[in-house]
Amino acid sequence: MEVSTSGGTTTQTPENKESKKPSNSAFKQQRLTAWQPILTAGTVLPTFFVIGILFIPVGIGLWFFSENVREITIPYTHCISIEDKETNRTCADLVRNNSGALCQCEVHFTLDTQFTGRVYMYYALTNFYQNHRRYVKSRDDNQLWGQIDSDPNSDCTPFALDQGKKKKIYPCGAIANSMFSDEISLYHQSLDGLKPVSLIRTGIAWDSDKKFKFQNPKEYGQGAKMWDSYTKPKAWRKELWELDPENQDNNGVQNEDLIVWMRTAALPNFRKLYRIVNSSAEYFRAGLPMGNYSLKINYTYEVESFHGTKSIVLSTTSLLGGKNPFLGISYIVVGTICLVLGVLFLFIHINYGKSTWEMTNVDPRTPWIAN
Amino acid sequence: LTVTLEVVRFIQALFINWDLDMYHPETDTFATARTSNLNEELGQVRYIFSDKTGTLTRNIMEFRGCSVSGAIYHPDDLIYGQNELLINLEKGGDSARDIRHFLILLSVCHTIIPEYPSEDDGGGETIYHASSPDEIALVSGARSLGYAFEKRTPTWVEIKALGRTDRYELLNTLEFTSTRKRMSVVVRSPNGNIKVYCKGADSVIFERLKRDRATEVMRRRTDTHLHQFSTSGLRTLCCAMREISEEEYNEWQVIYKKASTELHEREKRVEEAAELIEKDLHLLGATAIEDKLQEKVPETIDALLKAGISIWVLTGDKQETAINIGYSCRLLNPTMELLTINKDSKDETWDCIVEYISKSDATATRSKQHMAVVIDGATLKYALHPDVSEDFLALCCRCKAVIVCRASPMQKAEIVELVTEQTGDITLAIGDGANDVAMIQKAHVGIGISGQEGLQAALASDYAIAQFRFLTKLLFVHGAWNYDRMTKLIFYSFYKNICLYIIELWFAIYSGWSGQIIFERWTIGFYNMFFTCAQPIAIGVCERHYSAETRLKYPILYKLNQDSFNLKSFFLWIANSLMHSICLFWLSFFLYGSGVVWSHGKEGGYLVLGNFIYTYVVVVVSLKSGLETRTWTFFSHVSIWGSILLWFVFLILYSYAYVYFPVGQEMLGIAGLVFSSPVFWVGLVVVPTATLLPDFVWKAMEVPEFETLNVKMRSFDEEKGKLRKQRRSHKKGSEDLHNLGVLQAIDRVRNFFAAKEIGNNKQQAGAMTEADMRNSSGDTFNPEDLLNLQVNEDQDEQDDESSLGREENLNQMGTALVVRSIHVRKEEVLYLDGLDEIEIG
Repeated sequence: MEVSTSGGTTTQTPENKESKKPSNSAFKQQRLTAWQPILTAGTVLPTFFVIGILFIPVGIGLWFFSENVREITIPYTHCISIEDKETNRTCADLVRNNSGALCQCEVHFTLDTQFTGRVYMYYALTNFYQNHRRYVKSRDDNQLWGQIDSDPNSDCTPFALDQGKKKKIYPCGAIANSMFSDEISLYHQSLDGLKPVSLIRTGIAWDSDKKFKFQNPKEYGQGAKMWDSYTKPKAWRKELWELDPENQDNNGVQNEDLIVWMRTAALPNFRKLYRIVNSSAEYFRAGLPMGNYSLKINYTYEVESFHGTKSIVLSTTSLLGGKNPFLGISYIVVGTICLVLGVLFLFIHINYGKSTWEMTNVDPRTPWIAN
Repeated sequence: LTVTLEVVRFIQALFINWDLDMYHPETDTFATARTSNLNEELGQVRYIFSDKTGTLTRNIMEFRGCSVSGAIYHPDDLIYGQNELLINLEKGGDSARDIRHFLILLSVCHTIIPEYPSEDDGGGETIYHASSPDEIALVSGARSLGYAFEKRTPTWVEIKALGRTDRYELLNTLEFTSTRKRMSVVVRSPNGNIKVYCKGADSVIFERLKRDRATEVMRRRTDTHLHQFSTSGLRTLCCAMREISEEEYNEWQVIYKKASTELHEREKRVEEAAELIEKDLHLLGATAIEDKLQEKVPETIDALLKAGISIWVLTGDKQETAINIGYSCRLLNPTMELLTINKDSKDETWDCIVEYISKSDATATRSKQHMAVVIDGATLKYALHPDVSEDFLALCCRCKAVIVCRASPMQKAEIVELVTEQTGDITLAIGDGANDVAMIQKAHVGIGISGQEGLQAALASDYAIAQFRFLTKLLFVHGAWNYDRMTKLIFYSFYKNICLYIIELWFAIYSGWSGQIIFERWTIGFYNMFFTCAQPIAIGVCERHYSAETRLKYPILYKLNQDSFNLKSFFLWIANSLMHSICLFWLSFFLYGSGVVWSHGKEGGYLVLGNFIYTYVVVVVSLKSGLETRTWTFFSHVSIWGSILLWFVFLILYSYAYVYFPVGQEMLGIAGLVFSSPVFWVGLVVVPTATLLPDFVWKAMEVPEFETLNVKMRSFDEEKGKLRKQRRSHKKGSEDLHNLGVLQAIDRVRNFFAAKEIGNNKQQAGAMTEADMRNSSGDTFNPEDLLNLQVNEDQDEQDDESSLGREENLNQMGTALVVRSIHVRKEEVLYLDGLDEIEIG
């Protein structure tokens, strides 16, 4: 950025003189070879048609994928309590009036078609803002990694300390505290009578979470030393070591239900994987057969207070996951729009534009000259 | 944004420095951008204030010819190896005598001091020193014709006339002053006669000629020669002489001596005394000197004017010289009306200005290009008075050119300041000397000519170039490019940020307005730092809107882009980015559906959706930069594909960072989740496609084949055959045309030129011309009608055109029409090839 320094020295040596001359590189002279994507009829029209022709079949394919997914949603927010069948009281009522109460209820449903392949059982909550800023923050990853020496992360407040018991909460925070606690079992009403469907509790959480984020403290079982200073979250009915009564390895913070719950959902209406139908069990090797089913629910989780609902979703999956016709539809729509645009532009081109041939070849027969 | 801007500006400044086209090999200087903050302003210049001497001209005078006793001689015209003048001199006769006196006058009547080269330097020719370069030119001219001035003492001068040394006794020297506009010497020639040799401006010499028929004839002839000289931009002087008797001289000398010793009003007395002897002159002839212009100055000025830039020449020279230079550098042309303002008081000046304004109003807007204001320093003092300045400016703005002569450095600065403040347009001042420094500093952009007159101007300037002609490259190419780049860069920076951050707003709808962010903090932080920093820089550095050659060839392009940074395009970009953010968010939203986007039935959590969206944003924003890039260089590819790739790599790395460092726990394993989802890949195709589809359609609408350009061209052709048919299609065309925005219009020119550049339209233009020729002979065709139908707004020019030859007109229209149909909205008409006149509405 300097102006010519001294004329004297430069004129003496030719090399020096040469050095002041800017170099003739393509970059410096801004002559880099450039591709100029000029849109012409020759490029625009094929683009539209190619997109259209490619997208529509792909969209139809995707749509079929989605259509092949079997899915049934069974709402049970207002299921009738078994004990109070006479009064027709709903479990929602019971639980709302007496938090911590256990209400049992039964929901019946019918599968019109067979659910083939692996069948996944989800619980779906609505109007539950798991993506609320303060909710999302309210966790302590160190605690979940088994480090219990320090105090809970301040983000956990007001779910960091149990004031009544004067103990720290483990696992702390709003997320853990609000963990989904209904217990659901599925029964098939076959000719032989009610047959329980075997459900798997593991394999529902992400490996990366299990491996790197959740680790139990060395001792966390009943009577372990840590419980002198810690207590379970207030809303929990079960102790930390009781989360999976069948499998000791699936307990504590390493319990997969907890891990799934701790991965906060993106939207206020969400579903979370609850169980997988055990396809190695008898009768259910090919999935869930057609027929009548019932859900037995230990209803403890209260959703009425925030106008939420609960449902159980049974679903198979395709290559693309759950049922979502939007994928295919989006491809079909985009492809169609492109085709329509292509036709429209072609129409304009033919009617109002001149073809290259006409432009380049003028002879007396060219219509606009012959006239 | 600021960092990006600075980086880009710095590189742009380097480009200016590196430009080989602006490298001047003779002086070994290259262009220097001394600031990088004004790069884009170079693209918006509307007023250029130029110094004359050293900037437009080289300040090297050259003797270019003379007219002696009614015949023109050029010093380079040789017959049989000898100059015609000398041949005639040998022939004898009246004209030979005149020629001899003429040459003696040239070698005697001056104030030059010779310097003799020392023997060490090997002798050589005598070097002349004078206050005015004109005199050197004349004396050197005489020397080349054989009358060499050799020696000067206070009492005599010695000349070598065709080898013979003559000594002329110098009796009196009546010096040149600006009021006298002439100088004379009274000499005693070797044979004892006393002669008065007088040279000066034609106006003053002609007044003092002998009143007889022979002189009158001579005067007329010389006058036509003078006109010839001055129209070719030469500075002229008239030469005359008178032989006086001893008695008359003695008589006069007494008066003169008395006058020159007068204490009171001596100058005036001397002048009066000089009047007495400078009369009844015998006209010898006239000289023509060329004040050599810098290389390619006329072409440059021509181009600048075509680009719609008003040029103001501010010079310290006298009016005639300034006007002469104005003509020679094509700033003025003979058809132009010169509005000269030379008044002695504020009121007179004001009246004069107001009168000119009303006059120019009366002659309609069309005559804008035919007017030029000439004002001198003394009058300028009044014109710059606060009361008058507004009207003065109004008048000047109506004119294409303004010449200010006898302006002091301060006045130069004042004018620049006035225009800068009052018009609000970007002004550029260019000069080379110390007297231009004030002006250079006052203007928005100051340009110094680095070279002859020292470095003051260059040091005070924002840009230093070696030659005036480099201005075209600097403005038309660098300036316009940089402006275009900056415009895009700024718009694009707004766009990309809005595009990402507004998505948070859409997400807030679903997060209970809690302020939860859908992306991870650090990924947001790195958005501007890594994933979208290369694209704007690539645009800012490598974008080339038209090639340099096209820009230099069609200066009008300079004018076209100047308003591209406006509120309307800003809001278009904002709307564009809002639309993109909406598309990106909700398309991803529906794509994500229930959250089960894997065949193994698990669901992901908010960051999976967040990173879906983030990836699509990076892809869309990168591709958008590609869509806006007109010239894809290597860097464009690197920036676009590189940024996308960078994000993928970053995501993978960041997903496992928590394993090793206590950061990004939420992001743990996200890459695995995202990339293992087939929905993500399916969406990676459809979401950007759907989002950018409207942009693509918008761009496609500008394709010549699809829009009105061709409708118009076709109707133009059809017109010749069937008027009715033409009307129908034209109607369609004009409706469409009506719907087109200015932005599109500008872009369409681009398409046109781009197509032209690659040679696509060559034949097309040819076909048009051919068609024109064919049909112009037909009676049915009437260019006026056609133009009426084509472009109603062009009424003005059309009248002009029809006065030109029709056939020629048609040829031009072929090209002009293409562009014209593009610019109707702006009421701008371009004539490209073949048309000199460009008018901007």
